[in-house]
Amino acid sequence: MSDRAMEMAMELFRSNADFQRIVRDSDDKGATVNRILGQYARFVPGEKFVGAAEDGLEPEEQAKINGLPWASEDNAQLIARIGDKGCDYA
Amino acid sequence: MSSTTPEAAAFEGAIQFVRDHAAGEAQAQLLVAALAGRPDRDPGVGDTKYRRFVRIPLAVAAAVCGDASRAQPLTVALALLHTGLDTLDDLMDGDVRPWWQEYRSAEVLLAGATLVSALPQLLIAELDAPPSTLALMQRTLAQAGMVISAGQQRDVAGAGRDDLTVADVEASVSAKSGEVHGLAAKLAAQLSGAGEAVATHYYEVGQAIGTAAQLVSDCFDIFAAPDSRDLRQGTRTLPVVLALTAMTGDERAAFQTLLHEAEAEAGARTAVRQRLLEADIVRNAAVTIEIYCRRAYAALANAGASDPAKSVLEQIIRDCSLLEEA
Repeated sequence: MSDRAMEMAMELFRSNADFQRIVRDSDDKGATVNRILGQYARFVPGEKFVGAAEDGLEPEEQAKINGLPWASEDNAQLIARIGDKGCDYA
Repeated sequence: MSSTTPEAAAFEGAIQFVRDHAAGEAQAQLLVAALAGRPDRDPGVGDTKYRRFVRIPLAVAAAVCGDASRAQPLTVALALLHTGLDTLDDLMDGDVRPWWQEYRSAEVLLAGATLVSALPQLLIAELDAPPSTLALMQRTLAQAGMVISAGQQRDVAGAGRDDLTVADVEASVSAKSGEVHGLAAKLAAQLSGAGEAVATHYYEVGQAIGTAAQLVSDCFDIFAAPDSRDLRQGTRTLPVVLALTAMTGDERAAFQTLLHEAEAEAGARTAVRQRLLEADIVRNAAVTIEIYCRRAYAALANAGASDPAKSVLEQIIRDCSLLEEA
């Protein structure tokens, strides 16, 4: 994982209270953080994620990952939202 | 004043300020030509004429001193500045706007330069605040001017180039739109009596919002607008650079050729947009934008804002996110 991917994954991770709690409750906090960050990095632009972090998630971690909006929303939903929000140029 | 929105009040105030301070009728006419019709003529402002560079300072003033109206005169200065920056940007991009049809490009340049470099400073000098606060605000404005100028320089140099990185694009957007909104937030905080640390947190809120909003706008141009102005102008925005980053070899070379054809051919622009859709670029872009929204939320928490102003700023952030409902 590149430094940029790690930085972006960390920012997304920090803002997710569910993952913060999962890490807090885990026996091996370092390994849990690595597993979750690996999953986040799959959605970081420009990264072609390969590695063991894709496997071995605990069921609760997997459920949370699957529920992330950037994992579950399809392109049509995102484009519809761009249409709603995007034409107000900054 | 008959304004129905804060934006309308800001632009009405800007026109009045020009009339009160212009060095002659000819100068007033030129500068009013730049301002007249805003915000109504701005694309996508909707029924409320919503402009973030107006709403953010009002909300920040409400958060810092409990009185949004403290920043109302500042929104006039920001309307002048924003109009000047837009005018210069159009000139550099070669966009000829209808309201400039009767003017020469030298006059348009003069209007933009005056709106950016004289009127906002003059208005800040006349604000009701201690001299030390006004000096601080003038410094903040000048510093932001340097950042915005460097961002524009980067933007101009990047047109048509295929070797830009995602970080290059983000840096350019952050230095332009991000800086304008960071400036709006910081000036409002300073005018409202915030200390340096709190003002810097609000600067970070504004900068992240401005960056996210411009990236959303860039996505709109590619994925939702009837035709892509950015592809026509050879501007390499986030979706295009995300796609180029993921390509190598022949695939990348073919896409670069298509991008250059897209500057002249509508069919090639359609093909570029189709490629970006197929490459799942919209999801990558949404994640990038979300990073800036998360930064804005974090900076807002650090600033220690409380309701109702906090909720207003949170709604402005939410409006930029593609992963949150409005």
